Amino acid sequence: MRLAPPLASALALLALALAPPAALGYGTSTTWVTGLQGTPPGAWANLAGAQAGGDGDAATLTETDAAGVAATLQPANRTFDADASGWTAQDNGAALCSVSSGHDAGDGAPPGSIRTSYATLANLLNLLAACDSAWTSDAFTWTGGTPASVAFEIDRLVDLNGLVGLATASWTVRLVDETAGGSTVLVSGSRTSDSGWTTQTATGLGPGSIVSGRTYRIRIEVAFSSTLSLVSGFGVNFDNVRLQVTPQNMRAAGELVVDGVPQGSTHTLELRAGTTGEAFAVEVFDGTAWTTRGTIAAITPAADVVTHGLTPQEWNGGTVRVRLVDQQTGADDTGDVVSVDELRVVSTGGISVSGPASVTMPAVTIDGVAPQVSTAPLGDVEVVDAGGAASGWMLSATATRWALDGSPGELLPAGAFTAAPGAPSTPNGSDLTGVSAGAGGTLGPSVPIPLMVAAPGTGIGTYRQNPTLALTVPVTVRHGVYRSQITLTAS
Amino acid sequence: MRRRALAAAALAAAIPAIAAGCGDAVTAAPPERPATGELPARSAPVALVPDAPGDAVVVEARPGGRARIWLRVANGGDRPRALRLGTGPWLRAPAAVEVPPRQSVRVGVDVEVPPSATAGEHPAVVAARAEGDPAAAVSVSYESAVRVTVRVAPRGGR
Repeated sequence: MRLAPPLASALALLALALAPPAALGYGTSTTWVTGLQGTPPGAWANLAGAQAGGDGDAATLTETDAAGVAATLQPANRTFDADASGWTAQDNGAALCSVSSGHDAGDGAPPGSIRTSYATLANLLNLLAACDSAWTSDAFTWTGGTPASVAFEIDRLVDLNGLVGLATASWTVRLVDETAGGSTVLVSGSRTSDSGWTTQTATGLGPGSIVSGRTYRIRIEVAFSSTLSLVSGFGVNFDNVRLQVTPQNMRAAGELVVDGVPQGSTHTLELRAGTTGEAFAVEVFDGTAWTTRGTIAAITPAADVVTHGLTPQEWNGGTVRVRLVDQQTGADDTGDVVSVDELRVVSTGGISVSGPASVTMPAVTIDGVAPQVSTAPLGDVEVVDAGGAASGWMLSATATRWALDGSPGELLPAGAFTAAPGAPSTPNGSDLTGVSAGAGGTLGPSVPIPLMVAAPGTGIGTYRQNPTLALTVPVTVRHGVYRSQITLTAS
Repeated sequence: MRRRALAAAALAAAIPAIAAGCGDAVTAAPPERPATGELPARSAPVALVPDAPGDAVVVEARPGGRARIWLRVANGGDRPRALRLGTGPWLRAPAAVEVPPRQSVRVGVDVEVPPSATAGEHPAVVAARAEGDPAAAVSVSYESAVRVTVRVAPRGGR
């Protein structure tokens, strides 16, 4: 059985330096998501599902229609301002009547419409003279998914030369499905007298009236009948044909709130989630703006794990705000769902330590008469106790013997290196009560010397210590570059 | 040979030593080191804590038995960094762990109690170490540690 530490010799000194038991922090705290908000667009469900990981349960954010995407109008030529381009007419005359269809530049709002005119021939026996015609638009194909809504309007004018009850004009407007076959009646009507411009609106249309991927045309069927002989100038005009298809805009921007996150040396956001389709950005609020910190793209039941170290601003005083935002733009008829298996913030408490990674000791010149002393400030060493438990702490130091570069056996004396702490300071107004300079002393490899101490019940905050280092170089020493390694431990 | 010749040149010679950037024995500075005259690079905050509330870890095992404890290595800096781990007797941890910026990483430490261990509490330590500037004549490293108490049950006890 292996009992020895696995570290190489470089850390042997470390183990020695750590021999005294140390206080060493206040552990780890995990704060699970506490709230769901920020919708619509989107709809949250099952907060509890995100409050534990790997249990097969998840909070879900489902996209909802946010609207706002411009509707599409069909067919291409709807107003006939200049001509009837895109439309074709098929006139079906008979023995006693005729019909003719064409562009009418003078009528319409604004001027310009399509018109089917009717005339009868000599009808001495007063038989019923029936003729018909059909206008057909150019084809259009809808590709925007299942629409949010479908609507249709058309303006029409009936002109029977002021006669009443002597002729009949009727019309039916259809949406023809050229892909699947069949048609849907949009509007229809019949008149036996003149009727000015009137807008007719289709009823009963819905998202299912248009199917994505299919090709359609608008067809206007017109029929006339009369028993009169030798009349002309009857007609029906159409204008402003508008099939309006409004796409869906399925969106989600849902917020997860993790409240009550304690102070700490680090805050790690951990989010595990998957999506049914489109990707979702993971954004974090820093008090001013949202910043993307990851992406959820894995398709459920797979999941992506996003981890992010929160900045102090994102920690936000203990209220961490995370937002999931869908990434697709434009028309979207799919209500994707992002499933959040877990969201938590892991806070590490305790004491952290930082400072300069090196120090420069001035060179000295040996005069053969007296030892020389090189002194230098170590630089600000910073101890942060963000744990909140105020257990007190100590900043201590060790150092390896000074060794001549290239000749590790050439050592300066064991007592040659000392550290004299200065008064503790704080960069942010932390309470200095109970925080004092340590005794300092000779820096050696095995016995840590105290540089700064916080008594129990004190020392919550940020504190700095800048000890003065002094190296006494004996008279009899080989010249060259000497090296040492200082280790600072906050515990 | 050159070094010996210089050494023989006597006490009046300067000891360029002790100082990074002085003397021919000092190697080139790594890219992140500051230019001469600037403050040295700083080591970002580091902390090692139990992966649970509290400031220490207590684990129970029988002589010859094994257990695992969980710790968190925290990097308070804005860059990823590799932090070395060191353990005392009976403990085994990964040699180093890469920690993303401002995050903590969970680390498992195996506890292996020798068959000859006596019953009672055995203190040990696990430490995370941020190395100083390896090119400097005087590098400064930083450590954070967690106290681990291995509670060994009496042989044959429950």
